[in-house]
Amino acid sequence: MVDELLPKRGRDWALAALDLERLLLLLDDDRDHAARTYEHLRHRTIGLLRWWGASNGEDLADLTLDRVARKLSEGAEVPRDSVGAYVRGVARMVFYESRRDPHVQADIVALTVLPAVVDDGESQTLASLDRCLAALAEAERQLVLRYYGEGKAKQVRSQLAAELGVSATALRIRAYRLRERLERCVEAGVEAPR
Amino acid sequence: MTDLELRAYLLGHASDGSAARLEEQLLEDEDLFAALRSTEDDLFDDYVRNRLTPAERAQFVARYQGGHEGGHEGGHEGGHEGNSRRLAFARALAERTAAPATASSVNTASPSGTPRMGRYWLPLAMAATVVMAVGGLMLSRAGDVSPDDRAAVSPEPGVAATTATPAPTPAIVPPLVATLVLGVSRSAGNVAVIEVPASTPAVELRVRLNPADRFAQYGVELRSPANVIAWRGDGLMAVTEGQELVLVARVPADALTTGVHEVSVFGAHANATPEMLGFVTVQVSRIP
Repeated sequence: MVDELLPKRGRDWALAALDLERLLLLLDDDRDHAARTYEHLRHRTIGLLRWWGASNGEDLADLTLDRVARKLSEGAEVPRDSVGAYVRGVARMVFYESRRDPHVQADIVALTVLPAVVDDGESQTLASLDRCLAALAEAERQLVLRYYGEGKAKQVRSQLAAELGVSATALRIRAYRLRERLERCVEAGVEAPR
Repeated sequence: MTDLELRAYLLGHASDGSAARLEEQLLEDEDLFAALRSTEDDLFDDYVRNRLTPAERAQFVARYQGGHEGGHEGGHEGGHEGNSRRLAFARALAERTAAPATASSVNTASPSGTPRMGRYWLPLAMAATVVMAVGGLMLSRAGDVSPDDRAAVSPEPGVAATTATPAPTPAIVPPLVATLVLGVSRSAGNVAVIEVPASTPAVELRVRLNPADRFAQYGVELRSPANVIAWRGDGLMAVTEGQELVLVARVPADALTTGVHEVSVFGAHANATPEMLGFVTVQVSRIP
């Protein structure tokens, strides 16, 4: 599993492998668990970079973790409970550096020009959503429709959580995961309508 | 971490210190990361369902639809394209989950004759004097203007002269033109009525702006009777016509359904938070 992480790196493979081992060791003593933790950390770093406005979050996240791994190899001491702070700091630097890249700048400028909504796409999205909703299990479909439905969200969600016998936080995460699935399904459907 | 704190972060309200702390935590905590994404989903839903305050709305537009300048005040999922997809999804979800009673009630005029609107729009409704003039219908099917078309709106003077000579085949059908004026007085606005024949490809909304409202770019948003965004135009430029400042937005006729629509207008300078300039209520009738 660890080896699967390596081809993503652009640097010398052997050197990168050593660096990566240090990072994995920092994340967890168990090697396989560390590899999963690494993937989760990468996923969240991508999200963070995108919140900052990076359109190439995946590339920048790889650069970030690459750099963190190299710093560790160079002797940087990072306590396990400070990994988040350290990675954020490096990600910040990588993000700022990327902003100075003229190619990235051009991309950012392009973001400020907003295309109008394409109504053909809207109806296509709705049709795709219907198909994706239909593909869900009945209980999941009802959960999505109620959780994201009309009405006062707080009341609706409290009632839903009580009915399902789960905490509000658990319900939220469940709904969020379902929505993620639906969004991916809708996107696939819009790109290749049946 | 409360919902309000997460929301504040996403809208760029959080201080640098608290934003940094949150970001450090979310890199370590998968549940917090999911909570933030979930809050962001709610924000997209609130945006398309018109449940944001005007200030939040402007911040949302600034964060998620351009004009951001990095720092923690970003908020992009895969860049602008990703945000457009998420908005489209949120709109579709709003359509699908809209309660039938709610959707139909949007079409119902209040006792005062003012259409029902979102709670945050009412003050703006009061502030906007809608001096509505539905302009000429330029259905220049080489002069073949049907009685129905004439009943819809009066033809523009310059176009009427061309209607004398019939032509054998229909030419390109120009858009229907509706002139709407955003006012600044506190008097209650009127409801503009636009009848849109089936053959009309688009409606050209010509919004007269307060000449003082000069911005680098403008945006126009059209909300459907179901209170979801039916069409939006951004990056629009206003033109000066005589003493008037006019913003032209060409709305595909397909985006218009029979019922009460809201047209809102934003102005924005480069890298600045868009400013809401007002809105107009439009009663649309589709003519078969």
